[in-house]
Parts: sequence; C-alpha cells; structure tokens
Amino acid sequence: MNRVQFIERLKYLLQDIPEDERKDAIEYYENYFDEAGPEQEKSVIEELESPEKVAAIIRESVGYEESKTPDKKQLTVGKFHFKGERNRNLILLAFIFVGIITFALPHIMGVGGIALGFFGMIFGILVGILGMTVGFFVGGIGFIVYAIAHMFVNVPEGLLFLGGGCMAVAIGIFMIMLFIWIVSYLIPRFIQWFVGLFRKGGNIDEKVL
Amino acid sequence: MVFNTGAALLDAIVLAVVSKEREGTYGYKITQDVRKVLDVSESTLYPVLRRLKKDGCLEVYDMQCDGRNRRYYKLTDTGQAQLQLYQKEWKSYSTKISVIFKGGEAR
Repeated sequence: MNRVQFIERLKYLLQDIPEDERKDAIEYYENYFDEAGPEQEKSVIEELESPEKVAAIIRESVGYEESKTPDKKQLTVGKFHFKGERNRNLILLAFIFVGIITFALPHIMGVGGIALGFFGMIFGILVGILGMTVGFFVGGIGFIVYAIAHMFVNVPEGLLFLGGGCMAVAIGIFMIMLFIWIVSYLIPRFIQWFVGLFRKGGNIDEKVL
Repeated sequence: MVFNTGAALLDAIVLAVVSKEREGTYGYKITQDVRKVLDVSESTLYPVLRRLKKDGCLEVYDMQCDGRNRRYYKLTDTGQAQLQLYQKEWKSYSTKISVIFKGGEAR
C-alpha cells in the first residue's frame, strides 16, 4: 500500500463522521506525509499500521464530542411531527402503559402465586416441625412422669413408659435442632443462591476494571 | 516504556513541545519531538492536537510552503496558562516520587 491508497482508504472509512471533521483529519495526514517526505513514506505507513486503525482512533476522538451534543433535528414525516405534540404523546403513552399492565397482570399474578405457594410451603413445614417438637416434648415428659408414678406399682409398664418417654424427648430435641438448622442455615443459603442467580453475569468484567 | 502515559501528561508534553517555537510548529515536527520523549504511535497525536484546539489551548493557521499548504499549531494564552499549570503539577508530583525512590519520607 502506498500513501495515495492509504489516504483514499482513510477517506472512505471516515465517511460516517461530520464533513468538517473528516476534512480536517484527512488534511492533517496529507500534511503529515508531505512533511515526512517521499523517503519516509514507507516507514510512516508502517508506523500508522493501517487506515482502519487510524480511522478508528479518529472516530473515537470525534465520537466523544458528538455524544455531548444531542441531535437537535426535529423528527418529521411530512406534516406529522413525532416529537412535537406533548399532549397527544402523553395520551398515547398512557394507553400503551395501561395496555401493558392489563396484559402483564395475569402473568405477574401467576408467578406471584407460585412464589406465595412456595413460601407457604416453607412456612407450613416450619410450623409442622414446631408442632411435632411440642408434641414430642409434652408427650415424652408426660410419659416419664407417668412412668415414675407407676414405677413401683408395675415395673415393666413403668420401664416401658420411661423408655418411650425418653425417646420422645430425644426426638423433640432433634426436632428443635432441625428447626434451628433450617432457619439459620438452610434458608439463608437458599436466599444467597437465589440472589446469586441474578449476579452471575456481572463478575466477568472485574479484571477489565 | 515502563510507565503508562496518561492523557493529561500527553497533553502537557504536546503543549510544551509547541511552546518551544514562538511562531508555532506543524504536525509532523510536533510528532517527531514528542516521540523523542515518549514512545507513542504516530497516529496518537492527531486526537490530542484536535482536542487541544477544541479546548482553546492551541490555534491553527496555514502557511504556504514550497507551493503546498502547511498547517501550523501555536499556543494560545489559555494554552500557555494550562502549560504552566501542568509544569507546576509535574514538579510537585515528580519530586514526591523521586523522594520516595531515594528512600526518603513522603511529605
């Protein structure tokens, strides 16, 4: 590639930037080649690497300025102004909004219902465990009291109730431990996992930052 | 090049290079002078010159030379003030770093 081809290609690549910026940039590089002289032409092209790279650098530097000044041109088709009439646009937006809500509401409620059901299940299980715990404790202690009372009257029966009572209390203690474990470990871990689902996409760019 | 050159430092060096010529200097020469100091690509300079011009630190004028047009960049008063600011900042910054490197206390 020689200088003329390089500049031609650069002109082509810069078509999408404003005319005055393009003229400026092209003139700069034409000047540059002139100053470097024909002997340096090859090494300059080597240093610049490619028209694509130069165009990208120019486009980036022009781009920052462009994004600061928004396009103030009115969007019009014939006599119909898209951006013009505020009242009409507001009414249209309101209709769109209501439409979306009424369409989406059943779906949202459906999903909400499932979520409610899920939490209800968890709640039910916890209450159930509590209930069983109380049952086992009360029952177990009841058995033990009965056993002590009758130990001297009917030894086998007394022993039976004592053993059963102790087992019941043990199960009650186990239930309490199970309940505590669910509440302090299982549920927080579940919440962490659930929240983690939403975060998974975001960790990739930490190195780049 | 061990240390990365930030945008501000690049601006400062370009302003300093242009300020050496009272009547200004042209793109190719600016690039060569900057490249004596920094290892930057020749395509890096145009955006810097463009931005400095837009910020009012540099002004541009054309001069006919050997039958062709040469574009000169010259420091404006704003550019002069900005350069002095950069020089002051650099003195403070580089002094602190030199002290730390020599094993002294950063004040």
